[in-house]
Amino acid sequence: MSVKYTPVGWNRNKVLYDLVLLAAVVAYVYVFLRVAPSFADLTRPLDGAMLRAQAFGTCAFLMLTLILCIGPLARLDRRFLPLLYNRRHFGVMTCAVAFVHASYVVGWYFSFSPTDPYVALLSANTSFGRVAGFPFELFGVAALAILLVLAVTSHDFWLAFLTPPVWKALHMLVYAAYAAVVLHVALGALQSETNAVLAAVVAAATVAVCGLHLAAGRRESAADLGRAGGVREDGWLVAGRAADVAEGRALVVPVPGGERVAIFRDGERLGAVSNVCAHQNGPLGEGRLIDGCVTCPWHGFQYRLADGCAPPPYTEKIATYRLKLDGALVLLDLRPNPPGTPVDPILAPREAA
Amino acid sequence: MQRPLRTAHARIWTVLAVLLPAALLAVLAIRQTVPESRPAVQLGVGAADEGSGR
Repeated sequence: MSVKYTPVGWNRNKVLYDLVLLAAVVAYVYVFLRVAPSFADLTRPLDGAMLRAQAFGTCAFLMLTLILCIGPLARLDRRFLPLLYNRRHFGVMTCAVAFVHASYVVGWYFSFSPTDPYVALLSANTSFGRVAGFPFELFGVAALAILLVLAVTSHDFWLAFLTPPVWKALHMLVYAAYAAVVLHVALGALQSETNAVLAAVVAAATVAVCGLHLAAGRRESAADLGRAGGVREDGWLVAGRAADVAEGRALVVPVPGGERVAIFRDGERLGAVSNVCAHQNGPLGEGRLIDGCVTCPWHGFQYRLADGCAPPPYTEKIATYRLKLDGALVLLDLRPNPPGTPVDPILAPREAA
Repeated sequence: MQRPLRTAHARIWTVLAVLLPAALLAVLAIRQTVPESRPAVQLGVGAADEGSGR
């Protein structure tokens, strides 16, 4: 959350996150360079530059796999939410590691070519009609290009400039990048690799990423269908029992049209806001009240429950909703108020409800 | 997350969950493997030495 442009809003968590990441990359590359030669096919010469290219290439693949696992894991289990906090730095580092891999490859294969190395990279292999020998390099180039675009636009400046929905849609290109990377590895390294370890790792990673996304998607669908209350004739939706809203937590209610509303409890009071964070559209209802503010579980953006406004000096606003009680039931007005509209909370003591 | 993005996520991963493993399996299935009867070649041994029968 920032009110002026800063390249990176560093804090202790981000520094720690990045240091752990960097240490992990250095350790992986070191171990790979020490261990991989013992698994290598000794019928072919082993070159240091190619070994380093493989080290950084496999590292980038594993990093991208982990990045794509973080989102669904955080949806399925809250304990993974801290990994989500600084995922953009993870992505930028992955792009850097992939770039080092590409540099080694270009330096090794095309440095002594009479043509420009980058022209040679794109034009040397045109065997598009067969699997063995297919120009797999193009998939790698496409993936790296996407990762570069995502890294460059990862800053909050671009998020605000493009608006969260457009930015999120743009950054969904990472899925295309992953598909390109899998094909790059399958048509490239796996074609010549005689050791089964790499194939097993790539297959397991692909299945894990796809499986986790499918599982998280099913859970989202179930959340949309399972808790939908009935709409009364007067247009109010039966959101649930007031007693079901835990202190400092939210009851997330799907409303007709597909969006969700988060009804938070702050002591004896209940208030309702949009479930969509203004920053990256994070699920506010999975966060909690901290200092009286709804706090997004993804990046900690905060909004007052009473009016949906971020506390000063911040300026983000989200929509609020009117609530009323009918006995033990909480009723929700389906018409959202404009973002930042104050709404009187309703009194609904948990014990009495 | 907004509904259109949730829907897009679900559709994209439904397609990728079928296509990616299938493509990977297909490529692995038809890749050319080294024959098991291939004689081992020791690095650093010249072609002349190999052919000389020594």
